[in-house]
Amino acid sequence: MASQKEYAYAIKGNKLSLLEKDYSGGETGLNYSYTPNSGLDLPKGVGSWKSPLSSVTNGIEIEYTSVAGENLSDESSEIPVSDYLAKALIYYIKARLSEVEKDFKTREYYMKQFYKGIEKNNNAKIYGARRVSPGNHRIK
Amino acid sequence: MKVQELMERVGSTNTGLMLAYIKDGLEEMNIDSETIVESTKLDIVKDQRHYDLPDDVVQITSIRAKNHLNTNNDYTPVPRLIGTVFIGDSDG
Repeated sequence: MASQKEYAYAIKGNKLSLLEKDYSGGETGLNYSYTPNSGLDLPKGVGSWKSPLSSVTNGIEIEYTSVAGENLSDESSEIPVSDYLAKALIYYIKARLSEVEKDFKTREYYMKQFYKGIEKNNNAKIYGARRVSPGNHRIK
Repeated sequence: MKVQELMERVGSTNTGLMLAYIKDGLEEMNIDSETIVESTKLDIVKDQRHYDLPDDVVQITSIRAKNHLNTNNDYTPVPRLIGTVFIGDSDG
C-alpha cells in the first residue's frame, strides 16, 4: 500500500510551486515563533510545508485549457472548435476588424455577441434544472 | 468549419491576418470557458519545489497529485496554498 501524502500548490509566474507537508520531526506542531518582520511563523516540525519529500514518477497531473489553433496553417485548415463556437469566433474577428477601423461601438456589439455565443454554448451542455441552495443562515 | 468558410462570412481575403485573429479568438474563448481541455503529467522530484508549466497553458482547471490524502495511488485534487511559506528550504 502506498503511503499517504499531503500536497499543496502555488503558481508563481510560469512555474508551479509544489509543497508537501512534512509530518516528521516529532514535535507537536504548536511551537509557533514570532519574528518582527515576518509575523507569526508556521509551526516547525509537524505540519511544515516543504519541497516534495520524495520523488514520484508522474506524480502531478495538471488539467488545463490549452492554446488551440497551432495546426492552423492555411484556408483549408479546420478550426478546432464546434461549428457553433466557430460562429461565435466570426463575431470576435468582426470585433477586431471594427477595432482597426476605430469603430468602437460596433466592436462592443460584436464582442457582446461573441461572449453570448460562448455562454449559450456552455449552457446548452448542462442538462436539467440548476438551483442555488439556501445556506444555513438563510432568512426563515 | 474551415478557415475559408469563416473568411467568407467575415468578408476578408487576408489569410495571414485571419489566422492570427482566429488564434487570438480561440485563446480568448479558452480564458472565458473551457473549450479545449488537456492534461499532462509531471514527475515529482525530491527537494524540487518549482516545475515548469506547459507552454500552451491558458487556464489551469485542476491540479491533482498521486496519493494526495489517499493510499490507493489515486490522483486527487490538490488545494492551492494561500499566503506565504515562511520556512525556506534548499529549493524555495
